[in-house]
Amino acid sequence: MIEALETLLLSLADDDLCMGHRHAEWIGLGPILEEDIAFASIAQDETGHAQAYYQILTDLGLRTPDEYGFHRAPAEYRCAHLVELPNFEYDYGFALMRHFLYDAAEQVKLQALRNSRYDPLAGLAERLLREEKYHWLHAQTWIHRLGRSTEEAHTRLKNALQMTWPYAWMLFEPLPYEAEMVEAGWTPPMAELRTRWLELIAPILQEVDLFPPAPSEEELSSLAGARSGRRSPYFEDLYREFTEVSASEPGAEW
Amino acid sequence: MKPSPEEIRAWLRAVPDPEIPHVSVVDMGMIGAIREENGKVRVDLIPTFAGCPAIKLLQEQIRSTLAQHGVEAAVEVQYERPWRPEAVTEAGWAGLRRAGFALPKKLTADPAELLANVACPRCSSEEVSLMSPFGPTACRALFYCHACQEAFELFKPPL
Repeated sequence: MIEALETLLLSLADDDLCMGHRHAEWIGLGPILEEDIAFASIAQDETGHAQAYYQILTDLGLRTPDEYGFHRAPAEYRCAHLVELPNFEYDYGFALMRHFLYDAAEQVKLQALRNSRYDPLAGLAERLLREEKYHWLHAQTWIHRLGRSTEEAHTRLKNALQMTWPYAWMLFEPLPYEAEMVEAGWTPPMAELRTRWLELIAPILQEVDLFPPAPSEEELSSLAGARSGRRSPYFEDLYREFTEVSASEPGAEW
Repeated sequence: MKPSPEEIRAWLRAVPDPEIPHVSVVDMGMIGAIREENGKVRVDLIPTFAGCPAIKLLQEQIRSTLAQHGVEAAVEVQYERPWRPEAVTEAGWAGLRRAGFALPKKLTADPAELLANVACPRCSSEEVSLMSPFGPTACRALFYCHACQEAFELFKPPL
């Protein structure tokens, strides 16, 4: 049972940890000052949320948040590949689309986990949802605004969506031990959450003429395995960077 | 004699919220249960936002403030209970106002509604624009007042 619980919490925490790091890369580079601040603020929230998920495992006598965050081997991380993707050419359309797809997924997951039969997770989901509402509002506002502005904005969002779409679907890749988790009432099946996610984003993307068809089975299966430790080619650089400080002085306290 | 939870709460009024001077952690509603555990006083700290970078500093300040009163305390961060704006005391709201923040007119569960109903804390004008729902800290949003042509911040609670 503990492996199932650890897998569930690490999938949530590791997604937030990496997403937080990727969003933080926008500090100083946002297209306008307010967006610079927004991405910094969202990054700070996501990193804090990762810590709070890790803390549930720490309270069970497992590793500390720092050990989970910074001292695991790459194959021990359980994040989806969407959050590992770098910011490439720092196209704001890409950052925004990833933020939108990711935060929609978080809305759906947290709303479901609020009713988890694992009480510490249910309590935390309730708390995080109250904070995440601002992320979701921010993402929707900009998709709505830019999706109906210039042709260039629309094209950039469209390209970003094309690139991120199969990755976003794989945020809901079935988890190892998922049957056990569902049986215990900790989480609904990922496939069910994906359906709810599509219902949430479809009207918003349709309104700006951007809702794409489902990715092919081949596309999806080529991205499989993230939740059991298969890292994307982009993880290595990300990992080296976010573990750089802790690796420079092992065991240091701060 | 062992101090009562009320006494401890009173002592903690000396600990300010590091991001919002004028308001103590008690009046911000960030102090949860206070009880005795393994011969120590255990204080639950309920951060407004889980990713608040001031958490560690607050833990230290609470510990050292109580140590000055001869009390050894363990300060446990509570993530599994949301902080609620309803927990802010009258003195807390007054301190936020004094610090220059606009306050939510009504505590609603809808962030769009909360951000759409804001008045300038200086001139009370409602001719204001939201510049960003995010500010210098997680609990602030940036606004601009068209009447007095000044920027201001809204105290933005998790909803």
